[in-house]
Amino acid sequence: MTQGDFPRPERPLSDGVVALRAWREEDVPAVVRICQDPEIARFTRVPSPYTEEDARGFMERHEEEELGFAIVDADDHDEVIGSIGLRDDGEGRGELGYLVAAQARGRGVASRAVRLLAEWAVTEAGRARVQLYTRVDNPASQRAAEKAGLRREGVLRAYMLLKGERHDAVIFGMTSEDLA
Amino acid sequence: MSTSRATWPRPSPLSSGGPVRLRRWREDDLTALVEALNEAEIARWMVFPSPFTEADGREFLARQIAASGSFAVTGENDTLLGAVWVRDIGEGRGQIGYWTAARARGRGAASEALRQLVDRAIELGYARLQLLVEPANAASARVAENAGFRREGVMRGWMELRGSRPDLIMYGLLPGDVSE
Repeated sequence: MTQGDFPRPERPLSDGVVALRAWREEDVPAVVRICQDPEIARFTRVPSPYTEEDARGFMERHEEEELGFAIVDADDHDEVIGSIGLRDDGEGRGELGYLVAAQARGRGVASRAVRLLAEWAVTEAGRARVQLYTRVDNPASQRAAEKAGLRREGVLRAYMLLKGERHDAVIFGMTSEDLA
Repeated sequence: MSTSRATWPRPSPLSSGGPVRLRRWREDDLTALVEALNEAEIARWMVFPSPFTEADGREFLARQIAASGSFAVTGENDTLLGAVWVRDIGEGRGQIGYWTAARARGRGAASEALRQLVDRAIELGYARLQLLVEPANAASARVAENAGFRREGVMRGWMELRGSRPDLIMYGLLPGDVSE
């Protein structure tokens, strides 16, 4: 069974500090709580206000349309501190999207999660390239992408459509050459 | 306002003297199409079968006739000069491509055809048009720039082309780039 054309990883994805695990039914309240954050509403597709139904739909899409994970502490897999998903963009490309709970920001959670999943996609899932887009006015997310080892490749004007408004997007990419 | 519509350089007159037009593809384009796509520069940059047979041509025409955003570029006496197309890639974005027959190169026909395609695409409501050019294909980059596209970055290893994954320059155009 594949998820968004990606197999489930055959090993746990963890760097000893954060880990990526499959969503659990009992994560719904945590997802609802995390997604009330106006910063998340501002920079992502996450609807606002955010309901339990939104959370269930999100977790379902993370199972069916992409390879999605809860981000957790490596030594406490119960508390959700973020989410990350990898979807197939065709032509050998994978595309990452992520968010981190407000209380877990500022300690490298996003960059660690991005690194784990990007490296897995390139070295173990056979993708030639992994990329992600951030709003041009979201420097925190851009720092996370760079710290994860992706390279800034350009600013695509009016690329993103978020809640009916277009935004310039910075695109970051990682190829197999970056990991050689 | 160097990018305003009024200051766009007009193409020098074609030696055939005729206007450049976009029209729908027709089954009787087959002979001219097969001739155009067997030419060396096309084989160098595009991904058409080489040699390009009549059977390839019929398949190509069937697809283009069915596609809504695909046009033959013609000159005087309805001579085939090339092709331009726009493909809906979602969220108001259109992906553009083009090729130019050997006989029509260097006379501004491709730039003029691309400008006409851009006008139609903007009328149709696209909020962003983009195209990808190989860095070594200077002629294609000039066509894009002449039509008002702006260079936005280099996408590394974006897709497989003729057995490798070259870096590709992303060009973008927004409706505001070409209006007064």
